[in-house]
Amino acid sequence: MRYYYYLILVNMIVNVLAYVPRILIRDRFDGAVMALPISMVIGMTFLLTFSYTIKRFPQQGLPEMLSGVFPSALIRVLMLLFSFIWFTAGALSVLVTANLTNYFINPSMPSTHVVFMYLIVICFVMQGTSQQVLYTVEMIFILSFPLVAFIFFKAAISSGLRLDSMMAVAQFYQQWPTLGSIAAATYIFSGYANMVIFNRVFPVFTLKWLWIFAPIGLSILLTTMFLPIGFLGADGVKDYLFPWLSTADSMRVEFGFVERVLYIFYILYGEIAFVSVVIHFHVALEMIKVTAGKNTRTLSWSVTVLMCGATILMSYDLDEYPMFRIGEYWMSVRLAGEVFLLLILLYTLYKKRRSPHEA
Amino acid sequence: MKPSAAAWRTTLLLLLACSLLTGCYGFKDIDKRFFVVAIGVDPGERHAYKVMLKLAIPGPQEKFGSNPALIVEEEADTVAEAVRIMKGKVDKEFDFGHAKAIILGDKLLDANIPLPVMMDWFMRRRDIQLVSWTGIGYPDAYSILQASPRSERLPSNMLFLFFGAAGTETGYVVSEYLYDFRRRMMERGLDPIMPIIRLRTGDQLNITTMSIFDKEHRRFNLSAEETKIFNSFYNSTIEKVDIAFEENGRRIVMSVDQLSANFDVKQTPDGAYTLLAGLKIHGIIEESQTPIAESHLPELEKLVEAAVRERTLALLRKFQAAGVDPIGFGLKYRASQRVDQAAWERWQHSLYAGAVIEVTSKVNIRSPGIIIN
Repeated sequence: MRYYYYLILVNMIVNVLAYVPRILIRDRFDGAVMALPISMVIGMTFLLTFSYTIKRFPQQGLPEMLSGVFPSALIRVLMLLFSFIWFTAGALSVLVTANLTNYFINPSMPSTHVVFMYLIVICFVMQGTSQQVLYTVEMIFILSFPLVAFIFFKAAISSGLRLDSMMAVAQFYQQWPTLGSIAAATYIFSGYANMVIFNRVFPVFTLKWLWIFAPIGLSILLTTMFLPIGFLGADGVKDYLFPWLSTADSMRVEFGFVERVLYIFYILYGEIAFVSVVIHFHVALEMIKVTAGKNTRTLSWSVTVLMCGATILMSYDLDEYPMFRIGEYWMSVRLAGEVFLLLILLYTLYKKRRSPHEA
Repeated sequence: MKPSAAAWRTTLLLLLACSLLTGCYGFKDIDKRFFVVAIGVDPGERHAYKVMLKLAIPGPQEKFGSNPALIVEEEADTVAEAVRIMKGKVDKEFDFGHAKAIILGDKLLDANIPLPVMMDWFMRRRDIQLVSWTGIGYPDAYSILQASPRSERLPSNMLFLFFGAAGTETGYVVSEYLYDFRRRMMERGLDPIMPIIRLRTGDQLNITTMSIFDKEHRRFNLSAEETKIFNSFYNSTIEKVDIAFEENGRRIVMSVDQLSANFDVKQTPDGAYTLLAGLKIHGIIEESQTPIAESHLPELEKLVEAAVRERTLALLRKFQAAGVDPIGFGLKYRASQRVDQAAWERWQHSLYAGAVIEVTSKVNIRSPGIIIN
């Protein structure tokens, strides 16, 4: 059961790092502040609705839930569409990580090769069974959690943090939020959606302590947005490509092995992004398996190669700006997809309740 | 699910492919690198900048005076070009990962180049750490870079010890990180500052003063005394400060153990603003030219309070008159209410200049030292 929480938490943490803060920070005077509580409400509604729905379908993935209510051809098409969303999520994470590596670790290595190296590991892990993937998630999450705690703690007690800058932004709380910032902020909560596949391996599904994600999510959102502002300034923060990386670089561990927190942060990001990519690619792969209607080794490998190949192709001619724009559109598409997913699930639930012999 | 022979073959192939990737991808061994410890920029004779890199020469052992370093310099109109040309002057690759000090020459700041232009390279380069220290080199950056004090164990370590407060701790040193400098350059309501590093005889350095900037240019320098006052607002943890004051022409020096300073902005009913600054000081008497009776301490406290109040007020007035705000009252104003562009301009043009300044101080002298009289 704890794996469900890991899925949600990993998704929360990985998004602290790339697109979400950048979108929120760009809109900081244009409603991003109000977007946070609104997103918390929306995100939690989604999360709870989803959890209560899939509770009715123990050990079933989305395709199994839908079968009987929708024609199988339609399910396949749906799976293909959803797998595309999941694949893009993973691919964007890989590309961002590769970009970071490129900027801060080895500038003379072409981005494509960095992506390639990441994918070598990912393509093996993602083809494991859902259980294996979940075990990996747990291990890496537990290993990297101390680092997350360290960085948050270090940042919170640092004298470089200016409360006034954060307040200056917070004063814009009355501004009505943009769709973009809501889409970005709700993404924090959407780790639950991975259950469409992982639910297959959950024998019992108890819903304890789910409300805890409301405060956790909100505080993560606040941290995501306001810590960079506190360090880099309410006006200056907008110019940083990776606000969080620069924030980490603004901290100094005087008597540590590594003086620059940047590198600690980078390792952390690498780990969490890896897990997140594995989850996303795994879900996408499983969905495509449903679409294809068979589950063979050849299929699994060819889909994997296709996905990795597409990612490498993307890394060829995607620069920072277009990637960011795609990332932003993707956020909105994802929000729509999430609503859609919930609607069909609720419809399925409604149908199957009426004919209990099928449920 | 046991991996088949085919899977193993693929794995092997992929791993082999990895081995092809290593080696030639820009990785340079440590003996093929020059570690830049400090970067200096002066105005050039033919071009806008003369950029200098101080390269550490690693030694087999670390002892006092073992701080050999090399300074490479080049003139160009941009920092980046200068660095590129310099690459042709040395046999190893520059590594900026350890560049912890950025020193701008005093004359460069009078050269009418706006700060954002001057600092751009440092911000834009990925390998310049945001936690490097910035400072002004007086009389020029070169003399600061070339100084190799005999008391150093590593090149430029004196600077790092100064700024990092790992060595000496004094209220006169303002340590300004690069990220903070940039934040101040951009932030409306918080203006940039930079410490001034002076060359002393005997190849030693000295940091006691600082410069105040508006968003683009240097406005004026502070004296050592003013730096100390500013530092109590700037660095909330600074505790090694002294306060000298006079009683009937006799000088008494108080050493501060605890100092906390706060500042705020308050709106008066008529729409004007008051800048509030408060200082709380605990300390003991360190030296006195006149005997101090124990019963006399409360009166001395009053004297110190008045002295602190007066000096702080004078400094704040100086800032206000020059229209700069290195302490951050403008940011406090922005934090207190929703400030859009129009409101900000109002603050900048009339509210800040017209604000009344109120300074309060609370001094507690714990003892006259270990001598009672």
